[in-house]
Amino acid sequence: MGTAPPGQVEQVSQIAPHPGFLAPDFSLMSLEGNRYTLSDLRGRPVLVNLWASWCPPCRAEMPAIERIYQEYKHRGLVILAVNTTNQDDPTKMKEFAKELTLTMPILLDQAGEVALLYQLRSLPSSYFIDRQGYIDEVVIGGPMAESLIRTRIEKIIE
Amino acid sequence: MNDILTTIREVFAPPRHLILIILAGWIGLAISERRMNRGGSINIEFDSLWTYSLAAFLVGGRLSFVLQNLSAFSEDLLGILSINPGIFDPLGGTMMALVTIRVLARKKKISFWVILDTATPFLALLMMGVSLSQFAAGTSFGRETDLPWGYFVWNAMRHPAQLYDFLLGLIVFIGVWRQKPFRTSGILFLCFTSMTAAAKLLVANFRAEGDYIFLRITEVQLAAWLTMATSFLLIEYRIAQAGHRDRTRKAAG
Repeated sequence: MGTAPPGQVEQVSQIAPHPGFLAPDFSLMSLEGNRYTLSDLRGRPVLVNLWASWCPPCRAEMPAIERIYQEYKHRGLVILAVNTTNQDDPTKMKEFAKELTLTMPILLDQAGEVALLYQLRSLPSSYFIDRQGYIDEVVIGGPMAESLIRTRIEKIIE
Repeated sequence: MNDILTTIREVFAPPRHLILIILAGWIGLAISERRMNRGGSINIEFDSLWTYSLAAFLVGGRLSFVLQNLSAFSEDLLGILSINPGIFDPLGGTMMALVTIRVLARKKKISFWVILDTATPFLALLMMGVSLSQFAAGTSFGRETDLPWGYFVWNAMRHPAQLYDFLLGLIVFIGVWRQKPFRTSGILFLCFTSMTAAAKLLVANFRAEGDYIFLRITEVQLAAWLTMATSFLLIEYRIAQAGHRDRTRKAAG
């Protein structure tokens, strides 16, 4: 049994890609060849953004996400830009990352396991995870406005 | 049963779940207008009233959210105009819509209560649309159950609490739709709010989501109790007001 957030009606010990539940854990390699495991980031606020280079709203929101990353990384924020590599063109994905000079970790979901785990139905999908590992907010679809991302980040960074 | 429910959830998975609210609102408006025409007692420009109220709801909801998060928008002013439905405060929108209705009602010399009565079928259908939308999005989900009508969501078999809400909403809708106009305006609307609050209170027992405020009372339960109490008080007040008017008229006549 996990620990439910104080005041929660049901002991949500289960893991699910929904607010109030523990974020499903995953471990993926980044574009630079480093391994990132979500559960290792417990204690830090995390934004998991599932995206693909062919998806116009994903492309549109990425500069704002990068700006937010630059602004908040010193306050402990981690952004994991999980590329749905199994449904993307790796060359185009790399070109896009280079074009925007993205500095946040870009993780490669080559087998589609994270997409499956997070019951991905629409791209982009963003999961705002608090320091205890619980999902605070899910935003499905996009592009998210920078101000929207900022309000959600401020909430999980508290 | 589970297959049908899964199909509904897949067809209207977020962000398509919002279609259900828009659809319910659209049908609700048509039904409210039909009811108004059936009554034939009021002849006012309701179309413009709905339009202004809807615009006030959308603008008010957005503005209220922005005002609560001013610092987030200081570096992204255009974000105020973005299409993200997440940049919205429903309570602020509702307050702004109510103020708009109040102002327009005064301007056009229509009773505020008559407008609320006319809007009641629309609101009842809207509530049903919200419940279905929550079901499709998987929000406001139910507690775990092993009952045969439970359905699989968020890694457990759960009460379809949103569908209970929808069914109770349907009963409330049928009730307000079949109800002949009361002698005193506003009673229909207040009956609707109290019945809806009672339904929410009942369904809250099956809901897993929600935070306790105090003494194991959730926000939804507290809001429902307050709505019911306010509605009952206003019903008393409206009836007393009508009685007083009748007595004054008799005395004068």
